[in-house]
Amino acid sequence: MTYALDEEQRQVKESAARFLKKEYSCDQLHIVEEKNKAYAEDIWNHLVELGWSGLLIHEDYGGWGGTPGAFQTLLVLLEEMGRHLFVGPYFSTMLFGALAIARHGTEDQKRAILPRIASGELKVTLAAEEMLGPRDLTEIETMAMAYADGYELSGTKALVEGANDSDFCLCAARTVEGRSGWDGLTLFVVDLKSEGITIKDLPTVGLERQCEVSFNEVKVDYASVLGDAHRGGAVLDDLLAFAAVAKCAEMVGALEASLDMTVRYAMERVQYGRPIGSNQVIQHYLANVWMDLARSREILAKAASVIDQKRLASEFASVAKAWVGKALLRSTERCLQIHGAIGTTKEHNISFYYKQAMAWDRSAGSSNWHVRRVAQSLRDGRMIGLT
Amino acid sequence: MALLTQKEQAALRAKVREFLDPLILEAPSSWRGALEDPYVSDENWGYHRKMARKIDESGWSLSIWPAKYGGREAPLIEQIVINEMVGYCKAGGIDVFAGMIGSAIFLYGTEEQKAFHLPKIANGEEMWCQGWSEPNAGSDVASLKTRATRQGDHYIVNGQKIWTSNAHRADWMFAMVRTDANDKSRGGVSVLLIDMKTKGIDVRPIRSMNGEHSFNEVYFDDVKVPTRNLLGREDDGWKITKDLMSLERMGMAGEIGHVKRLLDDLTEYCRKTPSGSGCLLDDGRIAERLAELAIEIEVVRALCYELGRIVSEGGSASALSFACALKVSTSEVLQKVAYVGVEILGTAGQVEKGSPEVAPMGGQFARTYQTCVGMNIAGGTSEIQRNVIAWNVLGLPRCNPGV
Repeated sequence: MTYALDEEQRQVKESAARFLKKEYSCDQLHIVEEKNKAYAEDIWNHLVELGWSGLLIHEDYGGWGGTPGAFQTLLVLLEEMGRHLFVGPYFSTMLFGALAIARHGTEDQKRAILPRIASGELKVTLAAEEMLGPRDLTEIETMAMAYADGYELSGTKALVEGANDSDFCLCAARTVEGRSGWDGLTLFVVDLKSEGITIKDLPTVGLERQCEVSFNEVKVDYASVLGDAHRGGAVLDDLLAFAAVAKCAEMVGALEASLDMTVRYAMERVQYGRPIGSNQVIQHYLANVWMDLARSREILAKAASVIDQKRLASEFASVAKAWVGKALLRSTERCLQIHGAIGTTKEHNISFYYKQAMAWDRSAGSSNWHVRRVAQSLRDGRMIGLT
Repeated sequence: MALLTQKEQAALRAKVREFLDPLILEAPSSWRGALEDPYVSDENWGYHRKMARKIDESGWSLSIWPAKYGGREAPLIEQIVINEMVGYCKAGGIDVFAGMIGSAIFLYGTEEQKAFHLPKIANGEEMWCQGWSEPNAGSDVASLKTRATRQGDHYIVNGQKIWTSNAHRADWMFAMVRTDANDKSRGGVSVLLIDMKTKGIDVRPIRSMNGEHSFNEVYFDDVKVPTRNLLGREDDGWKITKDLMSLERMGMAGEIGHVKRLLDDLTEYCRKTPSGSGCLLDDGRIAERLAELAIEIEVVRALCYELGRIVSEGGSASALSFACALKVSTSEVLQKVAYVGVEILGTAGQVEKGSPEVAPMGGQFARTYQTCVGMNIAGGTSEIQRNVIAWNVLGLPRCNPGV
């Protein structure tokens, strides 16, 4: 079901639309692309002023949200951000900082970290993925060896979003030797300024900054373990379900923006004496994009509605991420085609949406990875759906 | 109207399933539970009508109407859940035409028409067909030529309908006719409720590629229809047919349930069929294709329930486009499931009937291979659906001026 917005969500949506239009309008995408640090910092401060950093954090820990409906409100906000291809540390800080600690942290961790996220002081990202290419997200070889005062982390994370802009990362490491997949993993909250960490920029097609982060005998104490030691796979699985659904919200926003700008273009662009949008072939391309938008929106709403129901949450997060990722890829490609030559240039924003579609499809588990998870459910004898 | 919580939906699904499971055992051997199944044989038709009666007795047939018309004012979502489950169980008894035509009568009928037809539609006593297409009025259905001329308290109907599903078994036809000969557009179109036993109606079969008979040509030769059988106002029938299109899509729920069942059957088949040292489902390529279809079906289901919500809340500007998207999405996913099915089955994919060894899953994929293409055409082609979306929600100019 499409979101029926409550008062709080309506306000967030309106203020987001206003802010993003003013401070982050699409003609500034090239500035973002140049990865101008000062510009990003400026935007971050604006977000904090608007209170968005406290959305998932309960007032006991310095926020104003953290209520049962807060995640739905976040989706509304992310959809607006997606519409403007707004990138930056907000997404990962909310999912792998605020939500991660609020859901899985100890009381001490909550007191130590959540108020600093709410105040805008801390930005957090996820350091999980190691094997680039068509490998599995769960193929994690970074080891955390226990010693007297804690653990020592060693390994390299290949794709860490915004590590350069972030203060902490949530690092997944193997604490039980010889295990694979989700088994024997532990999650650590790690200060990115710790000794032994090196960060390298990784040029990618999307607007967000991607980095490679190496851990060389990085020492962390026992208090930095998030959730139960050796059972971090379940925590990561839980967080990835939320992240996948949240990513879908951004993608739905981007899909709608692509459709809107292309419908506008199809009506403005005149060839053979009439707008190209009066040609049936263009109408059918656009009808397909509209259908993809409607279907993406509905499966996102469905996944969001079951997000608190463990097994269903993970299953429908995969269903939604697999579908919306591919829908955005094919839709932005069609929208670009309708724009003709100008669509292939940096001059036109549609090219940014086309590129971002690929980046976002790969984020929080690629659509192919999620298809494989659904395939595994089928193998395990679960007939998904009909719920 | 109220929506059902997920818990309530799950409970209703379980209840419907429990009710249907023993009844399905009585289905004839030719019954496979597809959309066109009721119409293709006498045994199927008898079973379908019996199921319609039983479903009504359980209170689950067209329960959205008030009690005096045979319903109990249940939420529309409940009807979607029930229809979907009936489709999934291959149970039959929910008639797509009865559902949407009944709803049109409910919305536009006189008190007399409602009292006469609705209770009998609800309990399965009265079955319907719809007379839309004509030999020269397919996608451009408003160009229809079947004439209804007023003579006293009767209309005299002359002309021809085609692709009329179930005209050979239906008791009544919901017919679009031209009442204003001078108006060649939508303006002069009216809806008549025609008793199929009326003198002058000639029904001739059309055989589908699989040899089955569900479509017909219907000829009208001076057919007398009482003026009290006019639905809504004269020359104002286009509005009704437009609403009917949205209502028809609610009937998609049953078809989606059926598609889901086809996929689950196929998945089970792949799990049980040995291949190499394991089973077909161990093949990553097969498992991933099945997964992609399972994903797509969930997406279509979400769309269907959303349309139900929109209609429940009194409709919206985009309801018609949602209905179009649902029609296209359902027929496309049916087609994909059919094609993946016959492909996985390999040489057995072509076998229509036989033992489980030669005709896996009763040959239902060989049959669906032949019927699925019609779904992209019947009830408005996928192309027309896309046109409507482009004009209705995207505001693009009509590409066929004059309509």
